[in-house]
Amino acid sequence: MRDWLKRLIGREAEAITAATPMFWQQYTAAMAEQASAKTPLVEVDFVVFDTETTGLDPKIDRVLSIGAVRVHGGQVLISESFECLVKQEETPQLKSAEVHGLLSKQLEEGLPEQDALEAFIRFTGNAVLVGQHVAFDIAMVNQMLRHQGINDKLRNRSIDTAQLAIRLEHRRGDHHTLKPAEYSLDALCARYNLPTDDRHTASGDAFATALLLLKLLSLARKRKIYTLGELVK
Amino acid sequence: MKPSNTIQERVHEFLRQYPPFNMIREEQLRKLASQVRVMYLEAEQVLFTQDDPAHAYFYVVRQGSVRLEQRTEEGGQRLVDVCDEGDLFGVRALIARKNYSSTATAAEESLVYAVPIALFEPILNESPEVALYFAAGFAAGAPVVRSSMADTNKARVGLGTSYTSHPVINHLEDVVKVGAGKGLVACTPDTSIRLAAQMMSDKDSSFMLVTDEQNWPLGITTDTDMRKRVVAGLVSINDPVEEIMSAPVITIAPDPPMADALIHMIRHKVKHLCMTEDGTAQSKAVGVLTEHDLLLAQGNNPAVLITEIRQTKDINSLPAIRDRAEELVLKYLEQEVSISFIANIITEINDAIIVRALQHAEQELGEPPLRYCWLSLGSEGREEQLLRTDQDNALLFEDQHAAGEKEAQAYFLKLADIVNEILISCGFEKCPADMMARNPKWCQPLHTWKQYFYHWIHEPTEESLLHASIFFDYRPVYGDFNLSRQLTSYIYEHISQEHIFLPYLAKHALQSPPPLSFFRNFIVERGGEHKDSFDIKLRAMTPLVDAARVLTLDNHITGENNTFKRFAKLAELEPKNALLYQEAAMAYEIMMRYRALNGLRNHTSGRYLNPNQLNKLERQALRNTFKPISDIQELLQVRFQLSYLG
Repeated sequence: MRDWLKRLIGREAEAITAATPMFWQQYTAAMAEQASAKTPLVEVDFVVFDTETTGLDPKIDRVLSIGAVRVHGGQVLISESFECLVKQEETPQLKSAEVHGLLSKQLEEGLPEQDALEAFIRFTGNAVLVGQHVAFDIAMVNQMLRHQGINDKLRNRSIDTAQLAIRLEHRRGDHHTLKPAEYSLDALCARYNLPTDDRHTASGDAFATALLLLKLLSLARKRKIYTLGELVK
Repeated sequence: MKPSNTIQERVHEFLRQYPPFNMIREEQLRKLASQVRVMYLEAEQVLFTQDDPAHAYFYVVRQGSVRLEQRTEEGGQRLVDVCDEGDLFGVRALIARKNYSSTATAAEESLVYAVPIALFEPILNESPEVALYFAAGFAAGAPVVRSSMADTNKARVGLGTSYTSHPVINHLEDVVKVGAGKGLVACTPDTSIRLAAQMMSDKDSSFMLVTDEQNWPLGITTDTDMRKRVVAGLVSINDPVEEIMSAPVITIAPDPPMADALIHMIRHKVKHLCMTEDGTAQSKAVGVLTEHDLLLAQGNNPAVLITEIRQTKDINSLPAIRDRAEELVLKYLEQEVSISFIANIITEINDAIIVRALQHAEQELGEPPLRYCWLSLGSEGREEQLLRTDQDNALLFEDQHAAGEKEAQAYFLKLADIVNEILISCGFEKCPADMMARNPKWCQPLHTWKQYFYHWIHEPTEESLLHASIFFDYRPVYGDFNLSRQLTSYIYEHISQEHIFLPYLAKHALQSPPPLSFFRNFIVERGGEHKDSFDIKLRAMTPLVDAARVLTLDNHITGENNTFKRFAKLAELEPKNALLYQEAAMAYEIMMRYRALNGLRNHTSGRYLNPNQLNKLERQALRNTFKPISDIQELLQVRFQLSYLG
């Protein structure tokens, strides 16, 4: 156990070298003060985000845009919203161009991946990351990190709104009856009466997901879930 | 500042659909939108409680709805308003910096935008439109300061027109200017007709004003007068001009508003008005205003319609002329011309039609056997009709021995039938309750009418009171007005003798309390229930008409039917209630306007309003009119001690 811990700390120490970009050094420092399991939910800093990508495989597909917005104290802070297009070096395989409405021409105007990544990491800091099927989006950001030569991963706590909705709606034991289609973002928004105009852009989805998070936090409060640890377990 | 992104843009797009945000400059609104916070409220979640210190934000409903309630003295909750999508609430903090005056509770799951007050304040200070919006109390909940109907009306006009791109040009409130001296062709009364004609011809004038040595107007003569009388050989061209002049001259103060000039011409059936220094005939003449001047200044003109009605030989041409009057109403409403002016014009037009129809009927049937008087009832009697409604009229003739009356009634029923039919052809539909002069019951000699009123006043049953509310607003239109005067004095005499009548009439006026507010496509009743159509006549206008009537009678004011004039008179007599009466009059004006617009929109009498067809600003203006109604009903309740009446 102690060895494992040592190795872990060692690796972290190793990871931060002179070659590590400043923003990542700052990120790492900030992560030391990440919200703990005991932090009351009203004090937690959430960043709800979504990425649009060339496809669904984190190994080969690329991020085209990122949209994000901060949720704090039960409110979506419109002033704390983030949006960027990513100009990919290689010609992107624009399989999903139609879905996202992102044309190569628009993407030409985006930030270089390095700058986009830095801006996003600076925006999120040590906030709890929230997204619909957030694991995929986190994997995509990790892929960007790798691309930029950072031998590390995002270590923020995270919440998948689809999983959270399932947990809050279903009592233990009846999970086998649920249908995944009922937990798509569209279905959830429809069920909870949330406005969903402008879906299928990263920002639009992030905003819809943020509203969904408000609803889910409210449901959680009814279930007497008050701390971050109770929410993400 | 960062350029706004998609999320901020979405907030911006939502806000700019609704007043007052649609009055804010785009850049400023963007900046404001970028600072909004979005909140989710569970059903029954309380956002703020009455007497809480104000938040740093005010709120806009994005989705769902929020109830505002106040505690009552008995410890219950009284519904103040229900806010739906796009409604503002919790603005007290913004303007008054006071604690909340009501409690805001989500009526269902809701999303609410919180708008930072610090950022909104500069906009409020800078934009007169936005300031007006708040001053008028258009945001939901109890108004901050007691905002007045005048503000509501100002906001309705000022903000309503900001939706249209072209400025409203209000010709009727323009003054008519005729160059001083230029419009003045005058001579003394002893001038010969020959010389006068010469002067008119030299100056290319259609008239000659006759003045005394001080330049005070004595009379006027026109080229038509000259042609008719001189050419016909009735007078000699060497006679003095005073032989043919019309006197007295109708005078008016210089540069009158178009509306005033028009009304004068129609009332007095003249085509020339003499402008004098102080507006009376006892001061110097400064110019002459002709109908032609008005026509030039105005284009289409009601005086023309009325002249056509008076002069038409063919009774069948009346319906077409009456249809043209309706176009006039629409034009006036669009131009925000004052309602009392429009109602005046329409009354003159309708009266002209009735008079023309009666003259036609007399021609058909021969001389009437007895003196009689035609009475207009209801809104027409009160001179408050804008759109054509069902006709309400009656006929009163002089007393005679029984056989004579019987014979006369047969004649007058035929007469009334002809007139009622002509009115129907002109778009005034049959009264469903048959309150028309051709109904034998409402075509009676004076003594029978006295009996009716005696019965209604001394035995106030439900039916009596209903009749009272219709027949009390009668107005003589044609015939011997002396007959109606006799009836009127009889009625007032009996009212002052019968102490139970006014309290009953007051109680009758309280039958329909106004609703509370609008919510989505519904009307919200005081009890909280929703209705999808709004009977503006029954629920908002009639209560004010009834209140004005009973209060006027209570003050012994006789012979005043018009609701505006009644309230004006009441304000004069009861200074401590003046504000309330002015508010009520203004509320009534706004309702008349909405009813007429609604009618024109849907080709109906406009009585039933569909909240669906009202924009946010219209709903807010209408909602504000409900308040003076309930205030005035409260006043009736107290004054006539109606709680004891059972």
